[in-house]
Amino acid sequence: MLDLPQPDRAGLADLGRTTIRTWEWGNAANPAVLLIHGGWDHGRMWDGLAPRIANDLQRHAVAVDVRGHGDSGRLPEAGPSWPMFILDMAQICQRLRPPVTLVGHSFGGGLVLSIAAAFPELVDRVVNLDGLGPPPEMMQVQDHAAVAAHWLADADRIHREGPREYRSIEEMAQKRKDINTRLPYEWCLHMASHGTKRGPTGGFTWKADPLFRLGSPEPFNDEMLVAQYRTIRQPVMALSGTEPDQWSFLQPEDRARRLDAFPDVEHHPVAGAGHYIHVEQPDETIKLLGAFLDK
Amino acid sequence: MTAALLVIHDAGDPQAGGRWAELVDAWPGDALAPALPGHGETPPPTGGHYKAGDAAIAAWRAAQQAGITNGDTVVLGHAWGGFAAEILAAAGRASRLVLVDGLGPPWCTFDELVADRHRWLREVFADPASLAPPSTAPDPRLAHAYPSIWDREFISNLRRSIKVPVLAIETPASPTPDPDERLAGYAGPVTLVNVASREAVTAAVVQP
Repeated sequence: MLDLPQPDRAGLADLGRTTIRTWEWGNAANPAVLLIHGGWDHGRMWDGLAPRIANDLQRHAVAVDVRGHGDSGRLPEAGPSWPMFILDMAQICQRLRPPVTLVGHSFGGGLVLSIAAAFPELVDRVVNLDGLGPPPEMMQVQDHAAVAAHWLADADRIHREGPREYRSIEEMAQKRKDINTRLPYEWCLHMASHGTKRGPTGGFTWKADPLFRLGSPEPFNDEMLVAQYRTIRQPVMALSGTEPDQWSFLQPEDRARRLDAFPDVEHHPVAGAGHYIHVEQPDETIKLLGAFLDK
Repeated sequence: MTAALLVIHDAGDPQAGGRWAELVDAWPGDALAPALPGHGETPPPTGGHYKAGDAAIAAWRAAQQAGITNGDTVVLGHAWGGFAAEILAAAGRASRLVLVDGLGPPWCTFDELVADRHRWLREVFADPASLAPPSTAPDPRLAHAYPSIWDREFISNLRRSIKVPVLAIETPASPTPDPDERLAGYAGPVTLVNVASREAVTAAVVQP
């Protein structure tokens, strides 16, 4: 197991319609840095970086479990909704004496940009860790009939079957390792240890809500993403890994085009990192984050 | 055997399915106009959040429970309910599609789609009743409806995948600037009926 300090405080924020798990490090009087994990992960993904943000950078580091992940509230029956996640996180920002600095990884990286775009008064700067959206071709819907049919059938299936149960946490860690080949096994085990719960027949299930896998028949494409990026007035720092990774989908030319859309952006390729930049290269991540916060 | 009718009412309609009671009575076969989540007696979804199209799942489950999804099902959607009805039709779950004021408002540019999402988010965020646990029906969050989905390319592609006959009924309340242009996008046969009032809708739907 990884030898990492426990969060200083754990909380449950009651947002009225849902509950969001929070993990905190450092002095709450310091300026807040809100850390938002990637899809299917949870707030303990930040157990390595957050204590250093609190101690080295003297910030109040707050990680959340996004709705449908970890210990936070469950998703609606029709699955996830991007505006719903934005609203949840805007309410969390409001509780942290805004403006808040946002740091997001992957799915969370997309989310922090959307929060900054919609609620500029809540956010002073944004850090995006390999989260500039899917490649344009992945967003192109070829067959709307198939997408609609799959959405409805998958919603029915999850409703009927519930989450899958596994025999052991180690088996789940290995499953994670199989699909995140660059993520060290110790981290897979860490994520599985904090991201699972007892199932109904004595085994273990992921805490992440299986409904998270439901897509939505709604417009989402490259042009919308770029249109959104153009509205972000705060400074943005984007980090991407230099190493090939099956979860880093974006081609360099697509990344460059999207980066061009931001009014105020700096981009740093991080050597020796794939998709999990903050896990693979924590020293470089902290160095870049510190410099960005001091700017 | 007469087709069954499934009605998907508009988002935030205070009358919910009850608005369609006359049509349900007049329909010659089985007919259902369920109250969608957060309307009437139907509880809100988990976490009290709604999205455009989620009525497709809720209405279909209600229809399954009522046993009217076993073959020939006409799906009618009113206004925002039209988008959910179109999803069911695209997925092959409708034998015919009826849209009442459901062809959509003017198309949005990508900048306008983003701006409308920000407008919606800020309106909901500033409305305490939309954030508090829902205690009335319809849920106050539904008064804000949804962020716009009216991207021409997306909707046109969705409509090209709908091959069943489409009946569009337009009332004076319709937001659609050019219904004929919208109807040209469907793959199957289309019929446009303009009616002078909401009261005339039942006759337009039930007529052979």
